[in-house]
Amino acid sequence: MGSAEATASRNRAIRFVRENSLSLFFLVIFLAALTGQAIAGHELFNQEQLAHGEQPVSFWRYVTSSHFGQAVMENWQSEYLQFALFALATVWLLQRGSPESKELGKSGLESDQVQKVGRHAHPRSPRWARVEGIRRTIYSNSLIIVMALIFIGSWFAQSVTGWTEFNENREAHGDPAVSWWSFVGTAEFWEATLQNWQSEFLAIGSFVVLTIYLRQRGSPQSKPVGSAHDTTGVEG
Amino acid sequence: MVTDLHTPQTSLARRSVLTGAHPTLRAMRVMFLVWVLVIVAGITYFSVIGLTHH
Repeated sequence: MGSAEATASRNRAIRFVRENSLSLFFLVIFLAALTGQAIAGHELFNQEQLAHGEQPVSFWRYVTSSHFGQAVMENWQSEYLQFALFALATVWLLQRGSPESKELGKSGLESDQVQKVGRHAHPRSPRWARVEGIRRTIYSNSLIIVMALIFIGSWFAQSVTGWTEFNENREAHGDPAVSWWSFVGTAEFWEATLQNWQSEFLAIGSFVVLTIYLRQRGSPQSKPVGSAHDTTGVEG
Repeated sequence: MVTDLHTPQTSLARRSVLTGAHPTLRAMRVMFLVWVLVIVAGITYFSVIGLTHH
């Protein structure tokens, strides 16, 4: 009996890992990269402290600093902006030949029948897809709403950590502190923001175009290897 | 059984959809909540650090 229970438990664990391997994989490498960033950032921060004749800080002090927070948040906000914009733009905008685009002629919000909402919903559709009114409107746009909220939240976090960092530098040079509102109008804030945005827009735009002619066998982000180059909106 | 989860006629599928009681659906929900927690915790943590001038 004990052996059967152990086998069942092991099978459940294997099944859990297999069925969630994509999100587990990215969660693990995200945490590993964040830890690596903290270690390298701490080292660099202390090198700069010593170069300026100041005391090095502990690892704990570094990971609770605005210096680390700004470095993390400026990357987060741009990633969520990228995905939110991509989800929104692909509702209406098309690219012939790209699997990232909808099929030509399907631009727009599509019919209730295609979207399986209201009376076209099936028994296993989410409840808010079956109801009418504001709940369905919210649920129909819930992905972009949440992605946009995460973008705004992380951009705000970037701004306040950057603001604190900015004022610490000003204080070190004997200059008066500035308000948060003044900081978000500075070249420093916008340089940090736009350097991340440009790389995200480049990556997403190039991916849309590269997938016209290039393939990755087995990936849903690519067309099937044998698909014609002008086949649009078909994923492998 | 995976097929049970995609067959609305079965009582298991109905119970799973409504309560998330089936282990595979519960795991799916857990993954969703873990990611939401990571994002919300990260943004809140660094917002507080910035606002308290650390």
